[in-house]
Amino acid sequence: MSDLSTIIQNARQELNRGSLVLAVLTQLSEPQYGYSLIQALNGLGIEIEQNTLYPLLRRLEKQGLLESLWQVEDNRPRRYYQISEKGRMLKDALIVEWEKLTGALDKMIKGGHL
Amino acid sequence: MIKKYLFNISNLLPPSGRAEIIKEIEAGLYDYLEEHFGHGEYSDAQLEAAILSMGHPKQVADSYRGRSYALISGRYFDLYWLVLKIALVASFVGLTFAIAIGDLFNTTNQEPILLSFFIDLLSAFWDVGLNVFAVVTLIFALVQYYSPLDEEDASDVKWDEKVFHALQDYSTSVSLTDMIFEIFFTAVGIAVATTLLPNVLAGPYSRVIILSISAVFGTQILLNCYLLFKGSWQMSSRLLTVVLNVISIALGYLVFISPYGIDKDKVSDKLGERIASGVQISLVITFAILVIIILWDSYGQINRLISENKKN
Repeated sequence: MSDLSTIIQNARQELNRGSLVLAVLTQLSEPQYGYSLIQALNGLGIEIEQNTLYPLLRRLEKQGLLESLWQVEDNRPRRYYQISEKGRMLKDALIVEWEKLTGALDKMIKGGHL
Repeated sequence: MIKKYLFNISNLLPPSGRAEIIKEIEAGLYDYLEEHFGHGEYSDAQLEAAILSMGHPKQVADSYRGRSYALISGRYFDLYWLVLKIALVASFVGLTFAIAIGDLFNTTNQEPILLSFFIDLLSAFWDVGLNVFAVVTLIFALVQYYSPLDEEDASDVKWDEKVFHALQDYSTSVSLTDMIFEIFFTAVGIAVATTLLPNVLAGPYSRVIILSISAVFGTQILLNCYLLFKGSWQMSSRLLTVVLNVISIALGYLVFISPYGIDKDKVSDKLGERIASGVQISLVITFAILVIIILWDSYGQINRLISENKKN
């Protein structure tokens, strides 16, 4: 049983990981700092930890998909991220792929039940 | 508390980009504190909650580093490049010094002294340089291959208050400048000992003495590389430093004072009778300075060992 729950947990993680980039890109039309983004995603039902999100944001920024800006607030620095033009193009492409994939999976799942 | 946590993460990150990542993690910790506990001073329990929410240093560092299968990569590559540059520059400086003095003693040389110097230096540096490159690369490749840090999967690592309090204290961290300084001068020492000493040592034990000096200096360089990897002193590394210091004093005595050391007559003949008496005094003074430096270093290591033991 514990083996099965581990397998399910890993499969869920894999599934979430694949959709994380799209989830992040959709939430960064307006500038947000890391922790506010975690709360926004958690509020929408996407569970993500700090040690997963911060490196992801950094990688996306390196790829030119996000732009970032350090701002000093209350005497301490805070990094704000926002989607870039390149990121918007990727987001649009991923949304098309996502709709195709969910449409296909939906048919398969429903077909499987029939 | 946050400083200690960030120090442990930074030890696992490659030097390039380390400062920015640490700044980002620190900002994330304070965001957490602000969201959960508002503005102002935070208690230890609140700081601990923020740290625990971020994850084990290995997990955090792994997420930033990713995994690599290159021969030398990640946090090791910058260090490898640094050690290689220091060792090559030190070898060049040591060889220049040793060959220049060696040429002074070479009375049979018929070639113009400058030409002979450059030919000797070039061929010796080609030889030594390739060896330095091979040895340093081999050491780092082995460390990378067998490093438990890279082998270990940090995703399931345990992370709670106990693990956090057991993390390494940043006060035991090694100084990068000290390590670079020591590696540089130890590499110069090896180059000088292996090139110059065969010309000036007297007695049947000269080869044994030179081999011992190379072994001690080599161990010192390996120890410094290890400390650079680990980023902190441990009891074993402090004890090894003290042992190496004691052996260095014994070898210094053999080279500078004992009859099996530097052949004073040979040196005096070459430099002229006028300064012959000065040679003996210079050797004693050099040995005395060496002993003072080594004893001072050993005193510091023992002192820190005792204070760390008291703290534990």
